[in-house]
Amino acid sequence: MRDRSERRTLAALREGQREAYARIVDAHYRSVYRFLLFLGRDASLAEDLTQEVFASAWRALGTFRGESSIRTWLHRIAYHAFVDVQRRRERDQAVTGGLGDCADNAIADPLHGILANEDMAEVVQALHDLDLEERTVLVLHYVDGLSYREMAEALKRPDGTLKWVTSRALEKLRRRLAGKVES
Amino acid sequence: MNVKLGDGHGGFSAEWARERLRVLSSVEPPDSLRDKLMAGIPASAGGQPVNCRHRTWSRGMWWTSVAAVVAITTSVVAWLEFPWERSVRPTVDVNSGSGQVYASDHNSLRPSDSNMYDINGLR
Repeated sequence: MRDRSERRTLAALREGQREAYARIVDAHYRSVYRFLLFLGRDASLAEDLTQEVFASAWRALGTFRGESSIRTWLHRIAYHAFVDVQRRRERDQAVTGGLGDCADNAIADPLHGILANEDMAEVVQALHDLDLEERTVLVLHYVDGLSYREMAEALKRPDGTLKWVTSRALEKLRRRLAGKVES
Repeated sequence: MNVKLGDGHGGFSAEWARERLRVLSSVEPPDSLRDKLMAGIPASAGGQPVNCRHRTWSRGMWWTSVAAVVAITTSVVAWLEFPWERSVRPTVDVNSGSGQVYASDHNSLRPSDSNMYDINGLR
């Protein structure tokens, strides 16, 4: 638990105060949504999973010990929710022989509207070309602004390892972006 | 596009890549999402405490626990106070080590075992 105000919020949540729930939603839903959006490059999936993340959080409130911040906790739930969906999709693709690919959904995806900006579209594409671990650390650190320590708590990995993965991922992204700009 | 030149990476620095990533944090979720999340706040919120591990015990749980502790303590004390009810106590063996008689098991005594009552029959 990071600070006193968060401890108070958690106590208010446990007392069932509706305003505390609303405060948590307002404080964190944007970053949780963005995290999921750039992990999966699918706006409707990000929207569905954001709702699932908060629903899971409310259900698990009784078991949350407050050892990490609420933000870290929500990102952790979000990451696991995304990984679960991805596994399910991979299984389905294996069964259907590749039908129902994400790329098919991407055409009708609202993300296309958001990413009318060419610069953003390039970054999102370059991010998507990275593997999940690299994409995760870059989005958590540079888009959502989590510190290495918070990332370590969210992903349950040593922060030293995450620093190294982040720096390697950033270098990969830089090369891809530079390649796109130069071409 | 803002490109930093002369950084040893063909003109595109790590900072340039970081800046491009940070631009993504300006993406906002649809307005409807907030409404859905607010609607998803559990109905129990608004007065009812969340059932969680940190919650204090209810009065019923408290009295049940007290009753259980008292019952267990009473049983242990009773067991310590009256050990003969549970343990086997050999009587004094007047004649020999082979003729043990168990006070709690009168019915299974064989005549040869009961010679402690047969003082006149002593050889």
